[in-house]
Amino acid sequence: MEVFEDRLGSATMLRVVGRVDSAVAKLLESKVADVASRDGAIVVDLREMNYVSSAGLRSFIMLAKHARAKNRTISLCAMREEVAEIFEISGLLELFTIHDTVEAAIAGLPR
Amino acid sequence: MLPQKASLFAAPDGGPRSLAAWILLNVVVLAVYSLAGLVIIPFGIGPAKVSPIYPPSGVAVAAALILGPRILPAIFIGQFCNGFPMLDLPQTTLPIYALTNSGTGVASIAEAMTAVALLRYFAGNWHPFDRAAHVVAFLLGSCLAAAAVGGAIGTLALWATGFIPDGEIGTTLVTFVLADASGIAVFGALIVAWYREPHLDRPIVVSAALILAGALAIASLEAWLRYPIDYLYLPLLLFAGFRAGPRGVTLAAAAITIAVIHAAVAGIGPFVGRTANESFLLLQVFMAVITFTGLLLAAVRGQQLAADAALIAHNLMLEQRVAERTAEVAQKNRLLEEKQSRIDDDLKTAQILQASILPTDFSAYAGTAIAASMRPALEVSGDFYDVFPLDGGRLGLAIADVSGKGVAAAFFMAVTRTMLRSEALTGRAPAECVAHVNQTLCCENPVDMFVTAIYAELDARSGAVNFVNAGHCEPIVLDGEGNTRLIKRSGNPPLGVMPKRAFVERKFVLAPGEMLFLYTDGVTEAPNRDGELFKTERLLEIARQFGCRSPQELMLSVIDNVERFSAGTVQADDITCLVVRRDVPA
Repeated sequence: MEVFEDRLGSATMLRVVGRVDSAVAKLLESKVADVASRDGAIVVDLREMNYVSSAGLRSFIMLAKHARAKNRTISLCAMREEVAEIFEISGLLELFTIHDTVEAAIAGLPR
Repeated sequence: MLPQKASLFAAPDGGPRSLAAWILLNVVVLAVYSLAGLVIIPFGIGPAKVSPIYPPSGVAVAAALILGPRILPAIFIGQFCNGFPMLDLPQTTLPIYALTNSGTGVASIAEAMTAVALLRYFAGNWHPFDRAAHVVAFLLGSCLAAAAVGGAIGTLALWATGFIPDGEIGTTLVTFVLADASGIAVFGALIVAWYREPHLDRPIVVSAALILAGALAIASLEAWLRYPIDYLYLPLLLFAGFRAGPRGVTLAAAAITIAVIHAAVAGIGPFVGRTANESFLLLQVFMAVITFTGLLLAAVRGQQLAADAALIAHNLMLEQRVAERTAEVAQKNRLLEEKQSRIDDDLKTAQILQASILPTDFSAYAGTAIAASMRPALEVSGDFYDVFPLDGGRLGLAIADVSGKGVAAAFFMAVTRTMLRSEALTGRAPAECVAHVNQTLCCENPVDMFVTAIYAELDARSGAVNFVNAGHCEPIVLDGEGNTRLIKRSGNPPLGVMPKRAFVERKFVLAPGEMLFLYTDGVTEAPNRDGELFKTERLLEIARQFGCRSPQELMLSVIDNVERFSAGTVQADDITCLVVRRDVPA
């Protein structure tokens, strides 16, 4: 797994690439804690995330909880179908704003 | 008391100040001064029987250095009386005697005070033994210059009253000055040195005895051989300087002085000149060299010893500091260890407590066979399972996994387990129980805590299972013939994430002989040494292989496989399994 970070105005863009499981969850969690401590919206680009395990989901829940505690919007975008399914059956989709594409997510950012 | 240290007229010892004490002090000094004048009389050389050294000068300077100007009267009177051999001379009338000896008395006082002033000025001290430069100041200032002052005044007095003819003024002056200077250098230094260090410990007594014995031996040898072997005194002086400090050196110088004068008087040794004056000069120069060399040696040696002592003291201090620091660190370590051991004890207690709330005896539940296990990654776990009876012969089954590990997770686990069980015992449906627990956890919950859980109700008679999966790993059902199926999640989030959330309840039927396998992701996500995960596929494989065995055997083989898979790694997460088989009705 790799996580790339980018800034778009006040928003933080995260691009997650590869498998997210217990072996890399720590890495994602520290990234999440770092990003969550800042202000501004968070957009997570999941085009290239091909698997997320239950340990990986924990990192996303943590991100959502931190964002929610600070009243910040967090969007997941361009999820693959199998990943979207994992999020769905885990009841986590409603924690996030979901966009089909990165462009849509950027368009949806508060101005 | 006034600060007197800086004054020339201050007594360095700050001694007695009363009149009686003053008189007593003067009487003592007078006695010593007079005695010093008397003992030297047999050592007179030449027809006039004049001594080449005048010890009273040494007594006067030493007394003035040690006791201050209080004793000047004694010196004046002493010198006034010391002129008594003059009374034998025909031209001496009483007024003349008084006039002459008042003059020499003043000369003695001036000499002593000059000696004190110069030493104070150049060495800043009342003794000259600490530094080589002080020794030079003492010999040039307090001996030579002071004696020059005393000698000039004394010679003037003798000449003015007609005791010396005009033609002998120069010779008398030189003799006077050198005798006084030698007296100060040899006997003044001797008194000051021994006054400064009066304690007689073993080494100094032994050294003094050796010095005196050595001087006596050399003098005797010289008297016997009648050879000028005075150079043998040099090793004796070196010994004194190295072994016994200023006291040894001054003692040696005094002993050697007495020995060589004695020899010269007896006509032995290298200092017997053609005339008395020649002998004087030779002796005086020798005494000056002896004293100078000895004192210099003692001073240098003293400085070296002081430096050594300072170095040793410094090292000692460093060692002490190191020892103190070490002790401090040790103390801190001890405290840390105590604290650690307290924490360890606490954790051990928590572990026992935690294990004790997990049921282990399932024999009472008719129509089922149950096995369960929880292995914490750390001392305490964030996982739990639970099995408890509900009304109508049904069973409550739960498994849960708190995010995170350690004490915080364990605490959260205990809260969740207790809440879930008490909700279940109210007779509510699983979805309702779980919704209640979720609501409470959402309200009272730090931001990074949540828990995935499955709560199921099993009716062992019908096999009906009503269950809620709140974001937990998908349970496996084994049919006892090697077939497995995963019970898909149904969109419920973990507990403690979304408040006021409704939870979807699922139902299925566990056929007779079928097993329900519940586990936490410590099983499926156990990593091996290469970072690869155990995964659900491996678990299903084992389930298929051991599906026809007992719940206990199935569970143990799963745990065993996980352990072998992650051999060589530290257990990454809590590993928990709960296996329930519905018995085939008899």
